[in-house]
Amino acid sequence: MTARVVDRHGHRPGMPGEHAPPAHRITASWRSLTTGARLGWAIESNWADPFLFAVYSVARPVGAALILVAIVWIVSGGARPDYLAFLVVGSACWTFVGGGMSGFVWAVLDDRERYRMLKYIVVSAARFLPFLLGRASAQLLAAAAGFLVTLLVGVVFLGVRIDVGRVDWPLFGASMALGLGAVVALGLAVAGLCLTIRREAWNYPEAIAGGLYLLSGTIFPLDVLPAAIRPLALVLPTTWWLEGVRRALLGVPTPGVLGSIPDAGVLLALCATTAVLTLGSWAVFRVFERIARERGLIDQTTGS
Amino acid sequence: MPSAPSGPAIEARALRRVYKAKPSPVVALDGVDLEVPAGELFGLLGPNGAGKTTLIKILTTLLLPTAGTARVAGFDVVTETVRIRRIMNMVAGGEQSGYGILTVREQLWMFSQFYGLGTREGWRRTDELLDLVGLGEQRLQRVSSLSTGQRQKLNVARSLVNDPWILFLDEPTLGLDVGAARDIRGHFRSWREAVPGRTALLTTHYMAEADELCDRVAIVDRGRILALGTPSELKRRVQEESLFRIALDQLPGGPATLVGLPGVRSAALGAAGAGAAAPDGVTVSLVLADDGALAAVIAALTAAGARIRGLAKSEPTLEDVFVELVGRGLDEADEAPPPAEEG
Amino acid sequence: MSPPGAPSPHLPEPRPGAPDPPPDPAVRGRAAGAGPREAASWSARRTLATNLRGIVGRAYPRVRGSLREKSWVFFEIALPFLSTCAFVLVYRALEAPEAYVGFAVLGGAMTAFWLNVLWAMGAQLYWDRGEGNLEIYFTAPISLMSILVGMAVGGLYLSGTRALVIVAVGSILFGVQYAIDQWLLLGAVFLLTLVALYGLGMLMASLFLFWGREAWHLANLFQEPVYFLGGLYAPVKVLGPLAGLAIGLLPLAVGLDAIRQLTFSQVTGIGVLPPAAEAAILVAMCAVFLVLARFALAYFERKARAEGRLMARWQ
Ligand SMILES: Nc1ncnc2c1ncn2[C@@H]1O[C@H](COP(=O)(O)OP(=O)(O)OP(=O)(O)O)[C@@H](O)[C@H]1O
Ligand SMILES: [Mg+2]
Repeated sequence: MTARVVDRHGHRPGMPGEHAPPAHRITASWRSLTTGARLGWAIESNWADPFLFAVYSVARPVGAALILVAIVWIVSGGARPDYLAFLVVGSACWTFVGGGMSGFVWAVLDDRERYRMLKYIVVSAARFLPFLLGRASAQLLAAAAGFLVTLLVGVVFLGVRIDVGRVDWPLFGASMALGLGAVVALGLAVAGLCLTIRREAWNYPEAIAGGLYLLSGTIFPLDVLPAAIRPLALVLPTTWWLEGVRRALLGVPTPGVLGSIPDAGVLLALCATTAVLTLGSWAVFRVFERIARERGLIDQTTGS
Repeated sequence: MPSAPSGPAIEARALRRVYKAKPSPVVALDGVDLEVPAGELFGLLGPNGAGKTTLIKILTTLLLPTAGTARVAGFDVVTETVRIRRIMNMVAGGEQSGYGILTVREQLWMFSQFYGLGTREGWRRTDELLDLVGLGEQRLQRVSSLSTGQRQKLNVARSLVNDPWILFLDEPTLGLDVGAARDIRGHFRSWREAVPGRTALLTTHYMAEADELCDRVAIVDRGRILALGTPSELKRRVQEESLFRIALDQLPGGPATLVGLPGVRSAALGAAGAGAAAPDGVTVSLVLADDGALAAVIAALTAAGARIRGLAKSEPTLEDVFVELVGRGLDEADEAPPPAEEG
Repeated sequence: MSPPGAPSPHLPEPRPGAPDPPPDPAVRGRAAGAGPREAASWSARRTLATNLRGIVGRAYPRVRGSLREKSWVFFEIALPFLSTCAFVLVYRALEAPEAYVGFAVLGGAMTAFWLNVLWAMGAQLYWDRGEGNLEIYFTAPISLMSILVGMAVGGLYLSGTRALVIVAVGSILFGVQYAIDQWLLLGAVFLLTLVALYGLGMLMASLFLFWGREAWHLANLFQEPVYFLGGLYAPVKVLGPLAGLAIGLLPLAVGLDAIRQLTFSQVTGIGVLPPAAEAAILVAMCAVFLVLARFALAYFERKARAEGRLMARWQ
């Protein structure tokens, strides 16, 4: 194993803190990423057959969408198809936020507390960040399944109108790519946080996703938010991501604050906020990783 | 003083345990008969995968036997579990269990509650035990910050929390330094000696530990008991002759000088290691019919002009017994072919 | 290696001369008297007391643990509160009658208990096994149910605070108007709901042990879909024919439906059944879940001991 990683010059390209040439760092990162992904998949798919896996991956997002549908029904008796479409797209996208962050958090917590392997990964030649990203990719893909099925349920059973021919694909692609980037960045920050806290952190991604759920206007137009916290919504990439995807899929901007902004403006805002978030998350991860190493928490096992 | 129980403290009859496993079932215990009287510290020795942990799990009510019966303090391990649990406790080595978030004191107190000690009594006992095992200074530290040895000491303290009559110790000193291992052995020894009738069953891979602690020892391999007796009985079994090692400045005429003497079975120049104390001298290993033959040897050596620098009787060790019975040393046993995975 | 006559290197210490550690303080009193057989026969009272102490003992680390790491105030209370607010705002966006805001607040509060049941009870034994604690629980002379109740009680501290904060802050923030006529019934229904919920939690704890890793996914599965079926954010009546099923199976659904009717007596026609009938259903649920849990745990223990596999740490 080790022998393969040592290159011609006797460098171990992935060693933390080592100044390896950029090309080596890229290959090492790539190898760590794919190793992590393979491990993530092996672990995720180990426990059940693909059918069950599919059921689990879609039951939550569909359940979440149905809650909202029930609310719309009990209040308006199905008289608000526009709002229903808004809700379905919002909760479909939200699958990525919870799933993406959970993937990262579980990569840290499971490997640390359950398999007790985190310390070996950290001291190995693997690059930690790409490894975590790979490890989380399984959950991101499961989230993609949830996203698609939720939309499908919306279209088939709830009368949401998404016309494949009229979807603004470039806008959709760009919004999705940037939005997922933001989700991954969030995941990294939370994973960093988890390095320093106890096992109960498994539900922190959910909690954080819950908070963002409110602030990003996932299930209501931003105008409903109290004016005082509305600016907070506007600096979150998730807000712009949802708006971009909604416009691309449904063809209409959300009425209210966001309605007057052109598509390009939405994308620009998404770009800018994602960039800031990514930089911030990277810094957060590094800081917490440092703290964890300083306090010797990399291989802690907790519980209560 | 407490009355010692009438029957044996631990009893196994034709005990058998088969694990379902792929590709084929594993016979971990293959008809074990064992009787440990109250008050005894009994040792189980055997290579990896011999079935020691399996036996302990059965006796601690964690595992059911496939066939045969086992009793602890006369209570059946299959049906009378609750009674057994009230009066026994166990320690397994190499464990990392514990609630990392709690302090040492809190974790121990929690267990005192599981055994029904009063709230205050629990705290009092917790502190007593922590002092006893030498964790007094760490009492407010988090469990997650303890070293391996300290964790094991905490584990020992936990095992004493219910003041058990019977202790099951599965490699309790695994991975501990000489001092910590000695402390832990000391605790168990004094625990047992404090009240007549306290009994312990110990497994270990450290032969010296078994020799030192145990009244009787059984050597098991592949789920069977190969030999059983006191350490000295077992040792006598492998070696009836007396073995001496003599360091000399020189030996004119070589070992042949000694071979003809009465009672001398063999004499040979010693192994390289034995000569280490006398780099310029020689070491002779002697096998004598009995100790009495030594006098003639010494006389002959003096007559030959050799000066004796050292003389030692080499006792057979339990390890010799083990090697002879199991057919391989402990180190080799590690590399023994499967089935030898840790369960 | 060693000079002749030196003690064998295997012997780490001289045997006879070693100073003995101080005598075990436990010798005082308790051990003296009877032998092990007498020590093993406890009165019913002592057995009960020990189980009660076991509950306290198990609850304690939960409470301590959460007090020790303060971040939970943010993650377990503040953030979940925000997601409850999200549902309230959906009602606002739909310009729904004000009582519905109160429904969402109550539902948000009840999620705390459900999550506690799922994760802190259902999945806990499974965690404990991974950490090697399960074996130690098994060797203690108390019922596994006491340990589980201890977990529940310890967890209630957390989830109770969370529920209380959500109800209190939510009600003030959104100006929820309660109209409660039958305080006694309300209290009884609430308690019954908790007992039924935690009974179900015990049942799940033993099932999750069997399912192993799948349990985590199951627990996940039991979140949003159960919120939906349990009518946490929209009264269960809206589910139409499904409502009957939900009421028959989910303590959360019955309990919440009754609680809503009892706290918003000014709003009529929201309940599936009258509160008193729902209370009766809850009583039945308590009995069924607790009895089933008892059997399931006993079955699990037997099976675990027989196979020697269920107690294994990694799976
Ligand atoms: N849960 C299990 N399932 C299948 N086989 C098992 C299980 N537990 C133990 N075994 C097998 O039973 C045999 C005895 O194991 P056991 O753990 O009792 O050995 P041991 O004497 O304690 O060994 P060691 O010295 O390595 O601790 C081994 O071959 C082991 O592989
Ligand atoms: Mg063993």
